[in-house]
Amino acid sequence: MKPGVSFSGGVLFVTLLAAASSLLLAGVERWTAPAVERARAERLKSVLSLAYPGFSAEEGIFSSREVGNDLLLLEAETASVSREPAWALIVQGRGLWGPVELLMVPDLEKRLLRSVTVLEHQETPGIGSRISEREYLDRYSGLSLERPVKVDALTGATKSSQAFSSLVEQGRKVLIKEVP
Amino acid sequence: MRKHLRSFLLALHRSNPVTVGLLGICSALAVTSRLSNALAMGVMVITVLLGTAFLISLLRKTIPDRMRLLVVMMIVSVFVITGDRLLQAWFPLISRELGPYVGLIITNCIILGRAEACYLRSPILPSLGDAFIHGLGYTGVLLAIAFFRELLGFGSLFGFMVMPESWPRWSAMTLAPGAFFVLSLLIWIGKERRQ
Repeated sequence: MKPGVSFSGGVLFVTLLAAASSLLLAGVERWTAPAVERARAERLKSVLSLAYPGFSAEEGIFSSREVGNDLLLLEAETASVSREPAWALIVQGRGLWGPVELLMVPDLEKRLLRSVTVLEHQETPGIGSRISEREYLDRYSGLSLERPVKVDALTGATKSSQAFSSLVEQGRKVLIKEVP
Repeated sequence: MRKHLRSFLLALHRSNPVTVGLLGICSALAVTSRLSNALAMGVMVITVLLGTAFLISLLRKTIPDRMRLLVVMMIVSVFVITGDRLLQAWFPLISRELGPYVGLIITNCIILGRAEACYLRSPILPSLGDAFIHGLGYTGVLLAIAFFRELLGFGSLFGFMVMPESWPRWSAMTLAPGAFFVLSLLIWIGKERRQ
């Protein structure tokens, strides 16, 4: 450590270090961007193949279109026997602490919500993060698309789960309007 | 060689950051439900410690005394954010399992504590040695906790089933309280043995 450095000298050092760090991080971000994007697409496919048994991860070039602010409707041809198209909706919105991204899969014949999966969230680990666990998400599967979403909040994570519920409700409204 | 190995193992035991220093407990509880997660976290912390030790030790004669904490945090953050990004890109599954705990390595007291106590004052090689021993000590404890938690909670090790199918899974072990039990037992045993 260098004692007795003048204040301006210290500020200069920290500024230089910050500039170097930012440059380095920007480089890392650019370098890893394609791989992160690929990992994200893989995850989407695996979530969809869970919801649609006929859907194999190899196929599935989605046509996607934006259906409003931060809502993305996906459609993919499946090679399954029924040739039913795979519909899914990605909703982005605010959780309690940061952006939440979730994927909703409808069951069009039965007019139900088949499954809800959290793709990304920034809720408190161990508390709000429980919104991304299956045990909680399963409360949404099987809910009717025709009625407003009503699911009990998680004890201890009331705000996070309320925010999450309202996102699902927002998605439900889009699904009944946009999907045939 | 034997002597060196002995003193190395002794240092691992005597100055273990988790069981002796009681640092990094939060992450030790959070990411040890499976061995693979504990290993990934351990590797991340060792890497961050080594990188931080090298850079801080290299810059120790230029880092202004009264801004040292700021500088240490900045250097740690760069390593952690880079590591987090690499995990997201090439190990998305582990990245999702570890969640925010990777980012929280920045606030891991083991790193800040060692930087303040050692890297800011010592030459590069001793700093790297110190970083390695402390990182290894942390990883060792994490793996030990995860071993018992995964074995009892899921009946598996590194994802492979080793217990019979009929194994009654101790779900308490998969939750945070299970980690508390195992960690406190480890701390107790370590204390008894040191005396």
